Formats: sequence, C-alpha cells, structure tokens
Amino acid sequence: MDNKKVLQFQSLSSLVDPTFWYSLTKEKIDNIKLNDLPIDIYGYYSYNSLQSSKANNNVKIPSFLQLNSGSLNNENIPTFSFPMKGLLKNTNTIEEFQKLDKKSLFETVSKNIWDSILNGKAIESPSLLNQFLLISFSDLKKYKYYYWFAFPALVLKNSYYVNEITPLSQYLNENELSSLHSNYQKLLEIPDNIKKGIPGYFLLKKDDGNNVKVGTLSEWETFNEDKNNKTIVGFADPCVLPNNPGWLLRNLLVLLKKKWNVNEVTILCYREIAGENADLSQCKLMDIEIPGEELSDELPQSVGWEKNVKGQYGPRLANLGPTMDPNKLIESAV
Amino acid sequence: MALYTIYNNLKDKFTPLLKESRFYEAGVLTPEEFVQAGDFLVSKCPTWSWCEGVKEKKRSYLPDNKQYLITKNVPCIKRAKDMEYVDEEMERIVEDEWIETYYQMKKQNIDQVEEIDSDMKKLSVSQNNKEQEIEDLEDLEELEDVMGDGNSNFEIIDDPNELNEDNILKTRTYNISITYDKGYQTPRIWLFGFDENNIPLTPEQIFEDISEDHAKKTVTIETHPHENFSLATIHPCRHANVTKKLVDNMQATGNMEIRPDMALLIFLKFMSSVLPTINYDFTISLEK
Repeated sequence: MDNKKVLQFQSLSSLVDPTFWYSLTKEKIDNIKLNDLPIDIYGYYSYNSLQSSKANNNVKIPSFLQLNSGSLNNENIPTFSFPMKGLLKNTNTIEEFQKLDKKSLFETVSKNIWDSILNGKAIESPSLLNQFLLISFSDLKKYKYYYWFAFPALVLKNSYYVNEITPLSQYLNENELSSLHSNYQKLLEIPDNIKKGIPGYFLLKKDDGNNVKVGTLSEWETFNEDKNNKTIVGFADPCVLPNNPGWLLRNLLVLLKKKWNVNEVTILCYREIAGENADLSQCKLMDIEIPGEELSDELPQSVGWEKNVKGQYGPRLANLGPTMDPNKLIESAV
Repeated sequence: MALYTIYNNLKDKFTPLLKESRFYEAGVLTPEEFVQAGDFLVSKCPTWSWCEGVKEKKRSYLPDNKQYLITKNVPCIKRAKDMEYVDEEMERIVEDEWIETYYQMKKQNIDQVEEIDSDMKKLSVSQNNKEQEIEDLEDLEELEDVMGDGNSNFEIIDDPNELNEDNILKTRTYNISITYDKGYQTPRIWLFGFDENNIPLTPEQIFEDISEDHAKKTVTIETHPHENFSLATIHPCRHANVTKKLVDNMQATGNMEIRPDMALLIFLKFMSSVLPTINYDFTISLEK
C-alpha cells in the first residue's frame, strides 16, 4: 500500500454550442418573456475523448458537458452521450445576474442530488447524480451571453484515497475486453436506459469463459452472488488523465457510501476512443478507499463552480454578435 | 461581398438539381450521392454524424434527418498562420493553389505544442473587442463566497496544462459541418470554433486557422444553409475540379476503384490543406 494517495478529480468543463443560445433567445422572445423562474434544461457528456487520440497522435482532450439546440427539451442527445439535467436561472438584467443568490441556487441543486441518493431514485436513474446549475444573463440586443456553470459534488469530511491504478487491459484479456464492450453496448442500445443515465454508472465482473458480465446499479444486491471475482463499479468517464478520475465519480462514491456503506471499491474509469473498432486502451481501474465516517441524512457540503477564462471563480462571456446579429445575417439572405 | 453572396445564393436557388451522376466526368455529386457519401463517412468515421438543422430551412431534396453532417470538438492545436512548411518536398501542388499536404507535417506541428502559449498571447493583443469584454466580466467576478472556505482542500484538478504530461492540453476546438451545395453540386465546409476556454471564436480568429493561401481568397462568412448563424465557409467553386483531379490521379496510380460514396473522404483529404491544423477524422485507408 505504498502507493496510497489522496484521490484528486479532474473538474468538468462546459461547452455551449451557439445553437443553445439561439434556441434560448427564441424561447425567451416567444414564450418565456420576462418570467425568470428557473427552468429545467438538459446537457450531455460522453465517455469518449473522441477523435483527438486517433487523428492527433495521442493528444487527448476531455469530454465536456455540452448544451445544444435540444437542451431546452431534452432532445438531440448525440451517440455515445448521456444526458445531464440542469437548472437554468436566466435573469432579465445584468444587475439581477450580479445580485443572484448563487449560494441558495447551488444548494438547491446539491439538495436535489442528495435527495435522490437518500430516496434511492439515483439508483434507478443514475443521471440524477449529475445535475448542474447554469446562471445566465442574455443581452438580446447585442447577442452577448454571460453565463456560469456549477457542477455540485457532495463532499465527505475526509479525503478519498487511491491505491492501485491498473490499465484495464492488464486485468482483462482481449476476449474479455470485447465481451465487456459488447455487453456494455447492449446497455446503451435501450433508449430508456440512456434517458435515465443507466449506462453512466454500471457494474461489471469477470465471468466464466472470457465473459464479462455487465449490470446496472439497481442490481447491486444480486449482481455477484458467487464472489469468485470481484464486482467492479464502472462509470462513463469524460476525463483523460492517466491517474485521476473525472468529476462525475464524486457523487457516485457518496451514493456507494450512504446506501451500501462501501468502504473500498474498484472503479472502472470507462473511456473509449471512437473509431471503427472500439479502443479501450485508455480505461483504468482504480482501487479507492472511501473514508469510514458514518453519513447522517443531513445535506453534506458541496463544491463545483466552474472557473472562468482567467482561472478564477467567475462568469464567462460568449459574444455571438458576429454570428447571430441579423444585420450581419441580412446581407447573405436571399 | 454582399453582391457576390447574393449571386451565390441565386445560383443555389436557380441551378436545377443534378439528377444523373457526373462524379467521374466532373467531380460533382447528386443529392443522393451526397447522402450515400455521408452514410459512408459516418460508418467509417463515427465522430461524424447527420444533423436535421432547423425546420424552416429544410431542403426537400435531402432526407429530413440527413440534411447535413457535423463533427464536434475537433482539436486545433496550432494556428495555420504560424505554420512553417518544414520541407517543400512534403507537399505537392495538385492544382494551382491547392496543395496536398502529408500527414507527417501535421505530426511535427503537434510536437511543437509548447509554442501554443505564446500564440495565445499574440492572439489576445490582436483582438479589438476583447479588452472591453474582459473589463465587463471583471465587474462580475466574485472571488470570495462561492466555494466556501478553503476550497483548495477539495481535491480538484482544474487545469490539465499544469500537469504537463501525456499530451493533454487545452486547445481550440472546432465544430465542422458539411452541407450539400446545390449551386456547385459539391460538399461545402463550415466552421464554428471555440477557444481553449470553450468561448466562441470570432470570424477573425477563425481565419487564423485557415491556410494563408485561402484565408483571404476562398473563405467567406455566410449564413449556414441549415442553421440561423453566419459561419466561416470555404467557397466551393473549385471543389469539383479538385475532386475530379484527385479521383483521376488515384485511379491512375493506385489501381483502385474510387466510388462516388467515397467522395467525402476525398473531399476531407483535400480540405486538410486548407485547414492544416484542424485535425478532423478522415483517417481511414482508401486502399482496401
């Protein structure tokens, strides 16, 4: 246990497609108008570091939380991606944006996550572990969008530790890897599973004959009755760091602790490189210790505001004047 | 520019649809061939996918769910304007200003990632509006109070660059879409970019990622045919010629059969000379 280290997580980054700002602008003009009550939106993330590795000589870029034109209605989830539910608070003026009670909005989302753990809904719909907050002010005259994301992660009083980190390919042979991949694909093929984020967090174990059995979190009690091989908890990991998991593992670890009092767990950081053939070479197994404290039902502390361009906690600005301003669009319209 | 654009849009509107295949004789595509080529691209390079676009801009000659193609988050590590051609012999002129570059050249660019930081600094100086925007944001910044006390204890890694290992970095990324240009009967490429902090790039910044030979000549800002945005696009007036030449060359030298459904792979191959540092996926081998 010489290698024991405090486990650090790579924070999640946001990427907002201009189609999201366009659909929000349209919705605000047509329907929302001056109503500034928070609304539900949906982002998505992926376990793929995508083409970066293949076409770019091993340059790796993490997957982002992305919003697009379907984010207001939970539509247009791309392949290889999972939905993430968010709360959008869009203000009518810059002053209101500045004065927002960020703490209480943040706590609202944290509490939603915590409640889903306490009442067990997160076991059936693991996407509830990944809720985010977006606060924004849309300057519709100038097509400027001020925005700030938060990805609340519940925090235990003590740190997690990581012992061994092993490439998955050392634990599974080639046949087992392809068995894992095809069984995981079966989870992904059911549209209702994607909606609930079921393949975002899953169970796996080595079985007889080069098989790897894959199951859902809700099968926790029955998944591994003869314990000849250990149960591994997999999660779709947007991160690409070799020795760190992504941010979205944090609330899962809290769930494991609170619901099943898990103190030690092997986590699979499931990372796939898209291509004609599945490439699981970036998958990592991490033996993680969860601190042994008892968790009461009281809402734990949480963290997770995104930093801005300057690496500080603060909002970002997307200036879409050059692409969305009708005066500029007019000249190319027929 | 406006007149030119209007001309193109009229051309698009009044050119009749191409019905019979003229791929081999003219390097152009029918809408059906475009869809087949798109299906082939999506099946070989799954980072590409079909898009519907906005409803009011739907083109009836394309299937509803296959209006245009897109690939997202394509890394762009270096600025094309800063690229130095390392070896003249590594490229050859295909036709006039179209240059076919070789993959090795891209590799060398990636090895030079440490230069990125200084590139970025240069960028911010040349941006006219940027300064004002940063001031706008400063008023909004709140350094205290959002994370509670002592947030450094929460095991967060924010900046992969600090780790400086394993080729992980923050970089510009692009969403690249390919539409069917009815006027020129060819694919047409559109670019939307994000900076290393995922903030949208201005058109001027996007020009920095287009090879200098093309940036001021064949690239314009126009309204996307399926979305309500204007984006940088590479004008398709020569696409058919170049496609035809490449197909002829490949058939003559490679003793292989090039089919119309491979058209987008060929298109992306020669587009990579216009966008030398945007590393989208088209890396399947045609020699099969």
